[in-house]
Amino acid sequence: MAASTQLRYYNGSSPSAGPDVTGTTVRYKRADNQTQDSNNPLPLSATTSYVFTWRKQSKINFTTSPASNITNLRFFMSSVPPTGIYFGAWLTNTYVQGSDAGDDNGVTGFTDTTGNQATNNATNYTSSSPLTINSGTVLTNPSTGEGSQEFLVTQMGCNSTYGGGPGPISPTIGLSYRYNET
Amino acid sequence: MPTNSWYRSPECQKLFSETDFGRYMFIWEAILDDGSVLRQFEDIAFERALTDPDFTLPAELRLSTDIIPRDKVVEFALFYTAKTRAVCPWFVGDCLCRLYLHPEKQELLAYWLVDHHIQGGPGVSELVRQVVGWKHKETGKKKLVIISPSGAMSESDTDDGSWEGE
Repeated sequence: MAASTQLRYYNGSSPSAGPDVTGTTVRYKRADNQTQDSNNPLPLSATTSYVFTWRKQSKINFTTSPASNITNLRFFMSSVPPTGIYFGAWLTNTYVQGSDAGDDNGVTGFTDTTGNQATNNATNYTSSSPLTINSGTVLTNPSTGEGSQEFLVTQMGCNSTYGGGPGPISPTIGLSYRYNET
Repeated sequence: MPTNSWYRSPECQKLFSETDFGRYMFIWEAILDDGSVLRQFEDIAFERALTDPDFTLPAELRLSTDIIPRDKVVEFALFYTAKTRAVCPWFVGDCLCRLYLHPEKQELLAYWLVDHHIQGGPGVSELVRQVVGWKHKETGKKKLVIISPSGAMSESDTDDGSWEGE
């Protein structure tokens, strides 16, 4: 059997998984929820320093078992953000709920300084040079679920050079997971 | 995510719906150094998949390439299914690729490379590429061929040797 896959973001203090977002859009906002609405938008920055949405944390979920193994789980950006939009990505085993206190000006140690922003810029991760989430075995038959993987943390920022207005970013940003299946 | 306009075509959409995003475009066969043959599906399903365009492969009966004793393979082939050729007539012939290996030096590598997209591309939320090749037993060096559903192919020396757009 082939593995069937979901992509889910987490929110809340527990945390709890939201709905499958495969092939859909995701709302990056200044609120800790998965609701597809226009509430809590990211304000346009007045300077060239970035202001940020709250972090979002995701995992890939296998709803049916592979015939044998899922291995080598990776992440990459499949299309880059427009000028003035920053997108950060990193891994953590420790879930931290998004909040205004911790996230509005960048996550400490990850997106709070220009150096950290460069290190964790998701555009560093391309299809030929992806972020390795787990280079080994993620899930083995007959199991389902998330297996062995860390949270992928992503966060979006905006500065004054962004030419767009309210609403969805244009052109859109593409995010992809990749894995080997046998 | 793929930008190749082929992925927007009705043929691609139909192929993806009929083959689980490209997983079942091909079926594999491995010949071992003792002459025995291993196949992705048992013989009746395997033969029907090659000849009957209306036949849907029983995915729950699929055998993983992990059942293959990788250090004993002398030949490995990917065959188009009849359904693939019916949906996409430009896939001509029976066999897309055939690897000849030296079991004393080379181990078979064969797996699906699955891309899972959050922002759907041109009608594509998931894309499954076939990866076949070998690893040198002593040096560990790899030589892989990555095959996209569009027919595009790429060579690579690493597991991450894929690309976007095709």
